[in-house]
Amino acid sequence: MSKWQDFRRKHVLLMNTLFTVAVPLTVWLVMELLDYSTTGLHTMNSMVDWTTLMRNLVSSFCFALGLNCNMALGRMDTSTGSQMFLACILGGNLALSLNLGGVGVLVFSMLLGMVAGAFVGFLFINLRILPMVLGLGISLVYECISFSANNQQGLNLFGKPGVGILSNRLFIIGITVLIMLVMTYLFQYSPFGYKRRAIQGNQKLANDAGINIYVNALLCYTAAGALVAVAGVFDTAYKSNLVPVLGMNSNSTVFSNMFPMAVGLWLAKKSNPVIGILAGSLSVQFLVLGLAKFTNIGMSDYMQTCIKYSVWLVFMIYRMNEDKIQLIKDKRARVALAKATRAQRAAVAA
Amino acid sequence: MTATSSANTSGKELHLNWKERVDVIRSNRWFLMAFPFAMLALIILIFGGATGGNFFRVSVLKGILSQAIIIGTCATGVSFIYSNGNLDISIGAVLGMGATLGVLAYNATNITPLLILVSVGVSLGLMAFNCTMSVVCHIKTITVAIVVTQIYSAITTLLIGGAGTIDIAYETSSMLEDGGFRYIAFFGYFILCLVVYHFTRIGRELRFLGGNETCAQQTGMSSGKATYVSFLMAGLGVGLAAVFSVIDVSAVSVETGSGLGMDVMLATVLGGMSIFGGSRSNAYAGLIGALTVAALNKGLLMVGVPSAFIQGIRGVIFLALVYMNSERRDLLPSRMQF
Repeated sequence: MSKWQDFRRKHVLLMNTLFTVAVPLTVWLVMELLDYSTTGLHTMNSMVDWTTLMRNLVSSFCFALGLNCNMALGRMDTSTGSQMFLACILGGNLALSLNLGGVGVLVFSMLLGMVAGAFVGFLFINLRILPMVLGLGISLVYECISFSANNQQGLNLFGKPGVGILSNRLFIIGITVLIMLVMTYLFQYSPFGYKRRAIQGNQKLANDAGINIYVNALLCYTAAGALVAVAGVFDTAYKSNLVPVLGMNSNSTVFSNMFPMAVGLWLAKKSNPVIGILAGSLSVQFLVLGLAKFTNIGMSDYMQTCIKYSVWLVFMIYRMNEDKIQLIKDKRARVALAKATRAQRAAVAA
Repeated sequence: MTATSSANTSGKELHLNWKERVDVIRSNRWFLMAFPFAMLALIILIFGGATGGNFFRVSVLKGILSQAIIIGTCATGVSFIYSNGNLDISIGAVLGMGATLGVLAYNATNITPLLILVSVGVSLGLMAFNCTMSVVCHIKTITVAIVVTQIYSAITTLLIGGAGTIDIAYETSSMLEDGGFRYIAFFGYFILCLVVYHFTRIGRELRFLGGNETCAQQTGMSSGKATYVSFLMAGLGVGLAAVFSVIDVSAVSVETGSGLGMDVMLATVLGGMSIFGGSRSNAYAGLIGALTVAALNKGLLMVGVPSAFIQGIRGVIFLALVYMNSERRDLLPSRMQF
């Protein structure tokens, strides 16, 4: 065993931490080099960039975490985008009408998100339709309700009293840390989390062992609804309003947040899903912010979208063939070892 | 004694509750064949009555047929993808990009056949790319569809530019429409699909793979080959639908193909086919379903239902039909994507 392998074996925690930090750091470094060499600007050029990063990060992190509640168990819930719109428009406007300010908007949206998510979960465990297809149908209905509510005005936070707290950096960091702690406990250390992981391993075995897979699915959908609602509130605070959509356009929010979730799940193998998804979201935000700097040399938003999704496609190709690459590496190592052994024996014989 | 107890058991088994009776009815092959036609007739009768006969005006029926041909062509092609258990929601984006490049090629050369060839060729190429990502790179079809939808839509918007629309000469589109190109191409494609699906070995293999992939593979069937055939057949249909959509409005815009994916899924289930594939799949479900979807959309608009509510109604109908067309599993359905 080489010294490097020995070091890695002895310092597993350090190596895992380095792996988790290395990915967002590498993305930032690559974007920094590209941005500076082509536009003369840094990826994080001003305090505005840091504020944008923070707001987008919390929104993306919460949404990706919400998707992961079900995705890890083989349930792709495509209705989470419409749940976000429904929860924020109904919950947010209710809180504003009661003069509850930003915290009220956040709490009421979360509650409505939980109701919206729980209803999807209830339908799922009763109808047993493939989650993605169920999500598409639900999206149509939820979009219809959120579009028709509040005279098609959506949610407008601009100039509303007490909503400034949603843009406060300390408040954003506090909420992010709180969500991280709660979700780490729920996913990793609570009875719900243990059961969820058992179902993730094998649903039939978990069911045979006495785990109520139906209640667990309902709780997963409820948690996902709450998380996407939080994401929606911070996104609305950043843009100052949330315009309702039709024609399944809410799905674009779901699809764009699958990228940080996919990266996060890959990083989670060396940490845990919550930290992994945070690091994944940070990596994608660095990519997006870095690409945004190319606007200065005339690159359009659509070209940036093309690049972002092409990077995702390349990542998915790597992710789905990771085991084959490892297989080739192992084979090469075996061949090298065999050659070395043969050469050693030949030398001894000579 | 044994004979008596056996007879009693049979008597108990024959006493079915209402859920089991519904299951027996919905799995009856004659019910499955008659249901889509009954739905279409019911919708026509309801809207015919609700609009005081205006629904039967020639201009309205022509509009329904025009819309149904676009949805039906896509749905007939996509039924190949559904039948072997795959889902692809990128067809709207593929149609948009195929139509855009076709129009650009036509505007650059003024050669009408080039519009058709480029649209179909591009659609075939894009569907082949999606399939390669799935078969060769082992990414799930739905994940590929999610990623490429964004890429194709962004490229289409870049190609169309700031105006948001590119026109073609009205004479060209009317010439193609009056010359009956749409009907000849649609029925030619429809017959090809029927033959391939119901009278060839590859069609049987597709249905078998959708029904039980493991069993089909153990009998020597190639999942990869079947997936390629299904995506290429769908690509041909989407390419033709791209030409039809250009003929319909004499232009292509950034909105071309948007919402088509959901219309195609709705048409498939309204046509009596399960979007989860299997032995009950057929190639004609898309056409019947497309007529029903187009009639439903038009009818709801004519009776004054707001567009947001039309979407909600379509969502409820979609879920009800998917539930009716799918077998209830003992455990919760799941499918790993990442």
